[in-house]
Amino acid sequence: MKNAEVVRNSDYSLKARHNPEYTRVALFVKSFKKLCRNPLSASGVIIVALLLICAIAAPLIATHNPLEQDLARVLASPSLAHWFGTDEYGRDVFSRLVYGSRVTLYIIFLVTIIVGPVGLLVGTMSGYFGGWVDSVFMRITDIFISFPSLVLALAFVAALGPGLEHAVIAIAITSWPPVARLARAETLTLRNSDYVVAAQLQGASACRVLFHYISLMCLPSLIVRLTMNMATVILTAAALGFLGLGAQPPLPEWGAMISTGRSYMLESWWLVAFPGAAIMLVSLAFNLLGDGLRDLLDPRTE
Amino acid sequence: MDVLTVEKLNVTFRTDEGLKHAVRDVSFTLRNEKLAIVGESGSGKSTVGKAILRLNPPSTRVTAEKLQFGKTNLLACNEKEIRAIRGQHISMIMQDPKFSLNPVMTVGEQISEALSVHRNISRREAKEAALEMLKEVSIADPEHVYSQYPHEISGGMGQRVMIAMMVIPEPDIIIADEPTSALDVSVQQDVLNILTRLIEKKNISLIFISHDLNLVKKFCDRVLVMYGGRVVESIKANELSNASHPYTRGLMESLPSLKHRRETLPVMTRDQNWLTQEYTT
Amino acid sequence: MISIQSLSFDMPGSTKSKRILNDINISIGKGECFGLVGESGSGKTSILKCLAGQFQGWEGAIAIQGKSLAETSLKERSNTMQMVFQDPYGALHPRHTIRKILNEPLAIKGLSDKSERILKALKDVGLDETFLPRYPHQLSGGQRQRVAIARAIILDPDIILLDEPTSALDVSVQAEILNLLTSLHRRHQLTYLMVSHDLGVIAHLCERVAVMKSGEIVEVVSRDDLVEGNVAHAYTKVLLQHALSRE
Ligand SMILES: Nc1ncnc2c1ncn2[C@@H]1O[C@H](COP(=O)(O)OP(=O)(O)O)[C@@H](O)[C@H]1O
Ligand SMILES: Nc1ncnc2c1ncn2[C@@H]1O[C@H](COP(=O)(O)OP(=O)(O)O)[C@@H](O)[C@H]1O
Ligand SMILES: [Mg+2]
Ligand SMILES: [Mg+2]
Repeated sequence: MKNAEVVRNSDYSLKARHNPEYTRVALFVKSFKKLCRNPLSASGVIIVALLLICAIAAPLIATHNPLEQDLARVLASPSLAHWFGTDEYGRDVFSRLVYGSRVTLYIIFLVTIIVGPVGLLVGTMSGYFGGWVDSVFMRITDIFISFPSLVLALAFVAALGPGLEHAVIAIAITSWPPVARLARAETLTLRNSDYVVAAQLQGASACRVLFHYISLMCLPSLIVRLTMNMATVILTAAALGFLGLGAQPPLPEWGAMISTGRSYMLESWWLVAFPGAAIMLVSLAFNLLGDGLRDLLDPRTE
Repeated sequence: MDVLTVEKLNVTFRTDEGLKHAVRDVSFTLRNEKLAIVGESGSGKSTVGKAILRLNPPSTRVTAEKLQFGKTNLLACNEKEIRAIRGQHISMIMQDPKFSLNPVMTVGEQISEALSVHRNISRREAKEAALEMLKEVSIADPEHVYSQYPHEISGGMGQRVMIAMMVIPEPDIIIADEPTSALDVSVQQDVLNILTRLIEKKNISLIFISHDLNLVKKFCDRVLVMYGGRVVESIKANELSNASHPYTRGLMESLPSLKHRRETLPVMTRDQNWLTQEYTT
Repeated sequence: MISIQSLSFDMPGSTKSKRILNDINISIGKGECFGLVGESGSGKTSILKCLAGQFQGWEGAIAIQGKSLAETSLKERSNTMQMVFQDPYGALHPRHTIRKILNEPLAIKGLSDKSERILKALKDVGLDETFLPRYPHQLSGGQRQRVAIARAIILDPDIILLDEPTSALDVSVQAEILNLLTSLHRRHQLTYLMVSHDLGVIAHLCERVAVMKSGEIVEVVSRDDLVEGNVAHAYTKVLLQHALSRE
């Protein structure tokens, strides 16, 4: 039995909530400001923004051509001409890092647009229909989850052959199950909510309920999850690159850069330190951003 | 004798949309009586109750000219002194027992703990007192209920347990925030009867927060009517039917009545002046 | 209009199923306001859920406008029956604007002249078009319940199931909603099946009331009998006495 006390914020009198012009844009700007108020998530935002700028404006930012070899300046230490030094072929490490951000973003982008929809679809269908649909989908996710993701990714790349696209597919295959689990859990709580029942009473098809009602409510936690997931994606991509199974030379991929730099590590620390720092910084940034987004989007953590 | 004096209490919340002045210049004195605070949701009733015990979230700004409990100035108390007062001298019963009881402790243990925190007694004595108390709140089988967990008991039973827990340290004041609103009408009456009997027996003053004017009319001695964070009327409960403030009257009249059915119910038109005019006692 | 005969329902549980409704018999005429009253957990909402198709696997016979409910699909049912829920905060999708909320039923049915219908439904429940771009959290509890009622009547159903439509609202707002329900009833020739735990609210709106206790109907009384105290069952007397003692 509910009663008047349950009614929150019925501010009928003091200042009625009259904000008809409260558009999506205004809401977005407000949320963004709120996100930036927390110094940790703000630093996440800044680093991710820097990454984006680097990727878009790589030709303007890079001081050299990332592929241009200069055998006269092999393994030069950091200097004014080469800020982060040069590698074993005399290529500028800074420029390679800047161009490498393109590769990283490319991987993140592709993985996310595969994983998000697949996870959402599998999870919401599983949760909404229940029964055998649920059993089948969840057993499949169980199988994927029970393997260490790097091992699984390795197996897939080994089967498909090395290459950037194959690495993307392998990473996507290993990272959709947690997303599907999350979407399923959300769907289970939403399935019996009054507005879903109301939609069913209006004769809405299952498809409509899933796309217009349930997915919409799963999105916030899914976005948080995917953002956090990007950190893992970067690490897995770097690991695959390091093992020589991801991006192929001469493409400037950060993990591969560390891998090749490893042989010269003791004399030329900059070959490993700078790509390593870049990987760490970016994956940390995505984690911080994810945390900030969760505080913003997920009311349960308040 | 005045048990509690509140003068010009103001509470401001800091929210995303700016400051929210939820309670404005609320003043009242509590004698040895049953004082009701009524009003619609959002009028600031709970906030007043919580402000007395400093239970509002930390970012809240609470100011008052006077907040006097017996000889203690509540405004000057530090955190430790307030904690000593909470439970032992002033206790609060919340609306839903499900949220205020500890889910991983049996209800009996919680009652005896409520006693042993404030008094230096052995476990056995505490348990006996708790069982005695459970009997007092009309629980038929105290031994059985003593060893049950909160999720195993019904809402009405839970509220009785809450009452037992709050009454057992024999406080001077109990603040009951909608203690019966989540209960069925038939259970409501029982719980209220138990509450009345106990506070009269132990000489406890009661602040009864409710949205239900008709309930309050029967049950309390005096009524503060709140609207938009302000007290708009303070009136003896048995005079409620000839209340002077249009808001109080509107609340009374808008309830559907069994005996005098009206085709359309009167709808209150809210006056901006209610938010500013001084009330007359 | 609605006839329910020996309806029983067992809620399947993990270990054993639990009987929630036992041998319910109701028949409601066209244009009638029928009430269900009883304490929480007595199975009032469950009856509505059986009607609305949320609970499957009940026993007995339910017929709506002479047609067996078991043989009508949810889609057909939506033309004759709509529901208003108790919690105005949970009944509207938090990320849909009022326009979208009211547009959905029309879009599902593929009807034309959508905006006219939306405006008319809004006007019926006493709101205007300035509410259309708003989200539910920008409305008060009473306004949300009005939107929920607008959504229920927008398809011109014959029957509306009302599950405690006012118990989450303040008394003054409750009065507004009850008045609205009364006037809609008259204007649209609706049949109401209303659930409430408050005898006063039920008696205000309904001509006949079924009193429920632990999954069974103990008595069906008319409003006049209720007011005069002409009730047979002990439980009804208890309810009545509590209701009267609070006036
Ligand atoms: N922690 C809080 N933060 C911000 N605003 C609050 C908080 N608690 C209550 N309020 C606001 O203060 C007003 C009064 O609330 P409350 O005392 O709970 O009302 P009542 O108990 O009379 O229903 C409401 O408008 C509510 O939105
Ligand atoms: N989804 C459910 N799962 C299990 N038990 C339920 C469910 N819905 C209702 N019940 C049980 O059915 C009984 C009747 O519930 P309900 O019809 O909601 O009562 P009312 O609406 O009268 O308060 C209660 O004992 C409740 O515990
Ligand atoms: Mg309150
Ligand atoms: Mg119910």
